Amino acid sequence: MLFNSIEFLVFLPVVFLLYWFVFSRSLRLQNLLVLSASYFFYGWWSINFLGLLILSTCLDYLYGFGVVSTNKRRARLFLWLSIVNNLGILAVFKYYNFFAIQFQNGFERLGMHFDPILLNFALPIGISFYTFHGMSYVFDIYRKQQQPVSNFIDYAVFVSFFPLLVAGPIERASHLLPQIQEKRRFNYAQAVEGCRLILWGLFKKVVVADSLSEIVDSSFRNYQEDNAFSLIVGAISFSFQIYGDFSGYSDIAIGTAKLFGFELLSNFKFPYFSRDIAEFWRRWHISLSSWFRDYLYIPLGGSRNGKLKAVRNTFIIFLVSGFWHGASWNFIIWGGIHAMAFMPLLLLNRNRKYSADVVAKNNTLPTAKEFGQMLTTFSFVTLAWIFFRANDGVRLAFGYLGQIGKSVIQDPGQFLTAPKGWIAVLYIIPLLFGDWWLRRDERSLLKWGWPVNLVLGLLVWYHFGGNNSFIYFQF
Amino acid sequence: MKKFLQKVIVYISVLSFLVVLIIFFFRKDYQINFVSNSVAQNMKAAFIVKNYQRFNNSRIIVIGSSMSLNNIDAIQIEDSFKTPTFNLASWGMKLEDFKDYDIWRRGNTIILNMHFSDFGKSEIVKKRGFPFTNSSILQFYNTAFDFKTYLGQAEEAKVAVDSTSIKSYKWLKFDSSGSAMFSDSNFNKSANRWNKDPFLFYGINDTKLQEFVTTLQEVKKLKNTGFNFIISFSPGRRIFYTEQRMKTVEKLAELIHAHCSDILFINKYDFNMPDTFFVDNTHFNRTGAETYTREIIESIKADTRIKTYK
Repeated sequence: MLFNSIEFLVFLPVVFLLYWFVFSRSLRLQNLLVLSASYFFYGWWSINFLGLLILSTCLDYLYGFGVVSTNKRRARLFLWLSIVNNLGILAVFKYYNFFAIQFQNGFERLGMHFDPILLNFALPIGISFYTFHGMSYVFDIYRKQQQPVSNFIDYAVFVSFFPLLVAGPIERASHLLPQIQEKRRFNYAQAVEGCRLILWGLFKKVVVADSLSEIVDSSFRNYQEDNAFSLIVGAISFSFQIYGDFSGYSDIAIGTAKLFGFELLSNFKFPYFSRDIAEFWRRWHISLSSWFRDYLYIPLGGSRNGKLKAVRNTFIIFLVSGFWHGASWNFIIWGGIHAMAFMPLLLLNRNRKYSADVVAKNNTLPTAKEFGQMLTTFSFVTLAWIFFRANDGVRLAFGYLGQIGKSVIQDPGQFLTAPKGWIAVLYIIPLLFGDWWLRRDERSLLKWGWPVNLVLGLLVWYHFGGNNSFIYFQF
Repeated sequence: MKKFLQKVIVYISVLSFLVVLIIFFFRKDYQINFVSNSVAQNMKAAFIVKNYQRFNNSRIIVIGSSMSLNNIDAIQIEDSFKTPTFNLASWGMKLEDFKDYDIWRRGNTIILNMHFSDFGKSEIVKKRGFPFTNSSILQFYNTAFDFKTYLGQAEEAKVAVDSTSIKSYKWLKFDSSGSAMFSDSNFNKSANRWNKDPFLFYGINDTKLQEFVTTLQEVKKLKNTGFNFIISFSPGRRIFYTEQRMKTVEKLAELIHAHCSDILFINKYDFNMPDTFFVDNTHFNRTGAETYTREIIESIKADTRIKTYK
């Protein structure tokens, strides 16, 4: 079920009341309730793929015991079993058709024709997330950073915890498991913060992202007929649509977890206020980029073996990250574009320049230089998003950009007229304002008074009925 | 916990109060029965509620998409067969969407007029109370949880019944039997719609034909036997006619005959109608609809299996 659905509006309070009023005396029963609720939540979408989730959970649970072995060979065997198992699931359900078609195209170019068997079932929702949970758990045990969990229920809750099951954040065993294994006590401030975060997340998703979706769909569908101004607005709209959609979902997930006494990892830290690409990737989908850093970049050697290897490893991470988002060349190219932008910073050792503080930390407004930096980074990111959004292929992205270039030359006067759908773009303003307010202290969300929360609530209600699933569900 | 629950309850109460206030203040009475994502279907639903007795007493029911709504003159059918007739059709409705109607009973004659646009899955999203409801509570519930769509549809409905809309594709002011025929004169034709080849646009293939017949079989199971089911296939602009496409329609007829032999299939795909009878590639104006309906009536009368009821 979706977070922005009537079913979830009923599901959440029921589970909440059962959790704190009926099952709170027994940790084991409370965890069992969370697990049952999580399977119910997932099964609401598909009972068949619930079986896959349970199977994946059982296998990684068992691999965890194998990988703790003192026999290094045996430990490595179980580690590889986990990797092959999880990547195998991804390969079959997410990437098989892509590779089959690439092989077919390859053979066609050699003059040989063959019709591959293509799989014809839906991509299981959240598959890219729960497989990564399982892999990281086994990895951490192998590295002696984590002990295997004896209680299957506890482990299953870690993999399937419903707020983060279908679109993250991607949690770490060392962070979430201890919370699952400890008794939770109701904390008023935490619960209130959770509710406000849910409300803010719903605003970002239901109000901002969904309102912008029409402009975006129209721009990318009819780009050949639109002028440059409309297409630029369309691209910017997508930047905020995907941000509102994904960070909104994360906020709802984190806020929901707080209602049950859990603290999840932060997943977005105001990425559009980044001063360079390196900072952007420390603020965007943090749980994914840190996962790739810890389980791919570092095992490949990271930056320890010279600049050349660091460049190679960085490229791999970006391309894999792109590919993780979808089995299509446009996602890989999107990753490659970011890799190209990151390289100069890496080579000049400037990729950690803005790792400490948020922009304008001690000021209300950014300086002119900071504003220029944010604008440049945002413009680049938006340009790259065009490739990300180009579902119909890379040609669409180039066509989109080409149409912008052509139209600017043909009709420079267009910038004096209002572009299509400009009203929805106004929703970006409160989003930016809210994020700017929160950038120094996310807890300042609690200082927003009743009037703000009521306005947000009314806006969410007004936009509630749209049928737009979260974009990141497809991953 | 108590303080938290109190705070949540107060917040939800205040929010709900404001929501109810806004709904009552902004709710517009533009003849919408808000039971789906389709403004045409919702207007038809409101029309049914308003004319429920006529609907309930009708023995000939016209169903389908705009192919039936705009291309069939239900009043002419009523006059010809001297049997109360109701046009239940609305934009984009597929055969499967009519399963929810209680029309599949002994004594009724169901007429579905179709074209290549009527294959494929329905895009109608049904809300509580579909296909129509008298319940204010259900209406309020649907409105409360999709207010933005409701307001948007209310505005569209207002435009659709404005007298100027008869010359546009938005026209949804139903006549007494539920049809909505387009103006004969000065219609604002869209070049895109006029020139679009429906066979190519809708990607007609054997799979789609088979899926349609499968749905027909499901519909026939609804209420044993006893109702007459007539399917007519209307012509498009002559420029799109080919023998190959005629063969496709004949193949559909064969499939229907093989699986549902008691359905009367009237193939009028090759009926040559001049461009002056069309407002786009497949929709007729009033004269076109009247002419085509006359053809259908003659075909029905010629088939001795179909009994009409006085």
